[in-house]
Amino acid sequence: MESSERPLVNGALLPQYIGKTVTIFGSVIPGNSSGASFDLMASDRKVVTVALRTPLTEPITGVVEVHGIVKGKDNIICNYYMAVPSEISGNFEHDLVNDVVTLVHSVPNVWKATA
Amino acid sequence: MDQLTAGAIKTIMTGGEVLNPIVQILGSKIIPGHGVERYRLLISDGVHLNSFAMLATQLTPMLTRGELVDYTIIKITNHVITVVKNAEKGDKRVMVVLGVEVVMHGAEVGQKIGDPTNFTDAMQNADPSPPATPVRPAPTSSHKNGNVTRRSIDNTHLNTPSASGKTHPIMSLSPYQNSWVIKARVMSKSNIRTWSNAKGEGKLFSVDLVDESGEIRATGFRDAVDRFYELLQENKVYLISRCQLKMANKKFSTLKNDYEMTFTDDTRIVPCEEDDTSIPSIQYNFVKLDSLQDFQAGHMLDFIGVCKSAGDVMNLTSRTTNRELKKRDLSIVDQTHAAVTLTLWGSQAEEFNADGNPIIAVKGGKVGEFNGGKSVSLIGGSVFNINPDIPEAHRLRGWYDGLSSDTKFTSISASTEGGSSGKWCTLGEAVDEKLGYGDKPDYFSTYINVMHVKTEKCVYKACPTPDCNKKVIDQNTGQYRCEKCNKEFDSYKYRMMLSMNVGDFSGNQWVTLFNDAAEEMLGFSGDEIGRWQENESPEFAEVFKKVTLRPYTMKLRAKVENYGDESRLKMTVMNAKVPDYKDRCRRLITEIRQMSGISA
Repeated sequence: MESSERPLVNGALLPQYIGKTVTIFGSVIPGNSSGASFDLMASDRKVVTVALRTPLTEPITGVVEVHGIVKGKDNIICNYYMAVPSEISGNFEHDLVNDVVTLVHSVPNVWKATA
Repeated sequence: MDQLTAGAIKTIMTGGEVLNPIVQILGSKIIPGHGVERYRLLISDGVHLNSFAMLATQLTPMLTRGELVDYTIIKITNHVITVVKNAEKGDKRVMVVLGVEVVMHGAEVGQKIGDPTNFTDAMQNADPSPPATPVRPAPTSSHKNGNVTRRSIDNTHLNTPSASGKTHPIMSLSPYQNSWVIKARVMSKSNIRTWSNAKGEGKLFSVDLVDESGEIRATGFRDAVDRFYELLQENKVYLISRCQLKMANKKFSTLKNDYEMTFTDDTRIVPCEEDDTSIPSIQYNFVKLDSLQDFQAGHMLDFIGVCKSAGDVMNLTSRTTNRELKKRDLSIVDQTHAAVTLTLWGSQAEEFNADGNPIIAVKGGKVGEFNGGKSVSLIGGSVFNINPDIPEAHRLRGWYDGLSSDTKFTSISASTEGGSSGKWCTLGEAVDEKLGYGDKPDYFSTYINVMHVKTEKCVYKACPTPDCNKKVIDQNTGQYRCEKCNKEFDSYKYRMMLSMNVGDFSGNQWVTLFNDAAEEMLGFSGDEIGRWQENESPEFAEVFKKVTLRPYTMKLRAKVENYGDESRLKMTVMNAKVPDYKDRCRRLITEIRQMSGISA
């Protein structure tokens, strides 16, 4: 099961979250056809390798949202992924997402439980 | 005492010439009238006083800054003498000071030098013989160390413009003298305009002239248009004489001159063959486009930028004069990555060619404001220059050509997207800021969810006349009466009047949508919805279910309305749109950054 906290990150933030569950958005970099993993260009244009627990059963392209556990500074074990259909992701802006990610991590979380 | 050029005042006021006289200021007085501040100085050369030394308006700032306080010793580097004809008292000479250098500030001098006596007009007329003190022969060339000392006495040879003759600075022109020649550059030339009124019709054009002393507008009417319009070319230098001078109408001109001139039948204009580089070309005072936001509407300013794109020529009818107007909007950008809309009118709009992203320099453009955005419009006196040969233009060209094609510009002219105006706030903020409680209605945009729509009385039966829309009275005879049209109809159309509750995290609010806003939001016409309700068809419920519990961006109008003793805040939806999430995201990012003080 995923932990209750699953912060949105970019490539640069991965080292701070090793061993933790995160959410990351990125574009699939075509070429890695092993089926056991795929390469993702995160919103800050850093390349992250997403290792799968079970091999892919479908080709994936375009924008994906990945939930997983951070293994290394550029490595995630995938718990779940969702490919965003191109009709929706057509005007997707990585820069905007990256702005959000940086901002979320630079302001205190006012909703965080104090317990 | 020996610092002052003793006797200079007497020499000058009796028609002699003194180069760069050194005098002491003993007082200054504002001259009342005509809007523009003008001062006269009381000056002393240690021997005489002269209280008729007018300070040219461009030097007024020196005085107001406190550089020309009493006792200050100045060197007059440039002046002219104007003879004011006065039949009773004889001619009076007035000195116009065009250039000064402070030799010693009044605070250091601290006292009156010598014991000067007033130099009266009587002395001026009674003693025509030039005194002996440092008089020098009139300079043969008008240029000395960049400073020009000129006199304007009635010399007949000055009446004919000639390249070799002496010329007068524009600042020295006044209605009190006739014999002058100016050597000036045409800064801008208007199109030929025509007028037609009860007194007849005619045509006119005007040019803005500049020399090293200042600028002036000259206007030609009727015949003068035929005689001079082709002759006068922008950026060329001309010798001009025999025009009529009158007070400038500041409503039509922003030039720094109290006077303007009109070409008469006697006017002579001769092109100056060699381009005299001492005559300045257009003086721009460019502002950066990103700072345009800070100027009030109605302000005149100069700017330069690259024409990024141009809209189509649009026709519109003036509301006041009912005349057909043509306009065209250009988008201008500069290194500050700001984009501003520049509006061209008439033939300029039609003739402008935006190919190759020309550099545009504007002098005297008028700042306009619409829905919070600032734009610039060309007016009568504006100078519009395409690809001017000035360093700023070349810098811009280099900068623009080096840009990548996806460079983004921030428009300071566009109102907030979707034509919605007003600021963004939450429903809670709107209540806290008492929006709608002022004299005028307040407009604001907000991001809300639709909580509930009242469907029972969402439509009413309206007069079928296209522009009427008044609610009709059911006569129960199959006839429907419209009070406004005073007619009975056998049909009606349904119109919507929708009441809904909308909410965000800060609160909720009942709002009203009139027909057009409701049709746009629901995607169906009021008549369709009314008929569905009448027939109890399932589409009716479906339409409202589709919008309930969904987010919208709404532009709201808030105004307190009084019903008898009770006053109630009424909020009307101007439009409701499916949100642009990226836009909302950017807005939130900006807000969070502002609130937390994080820079981009």
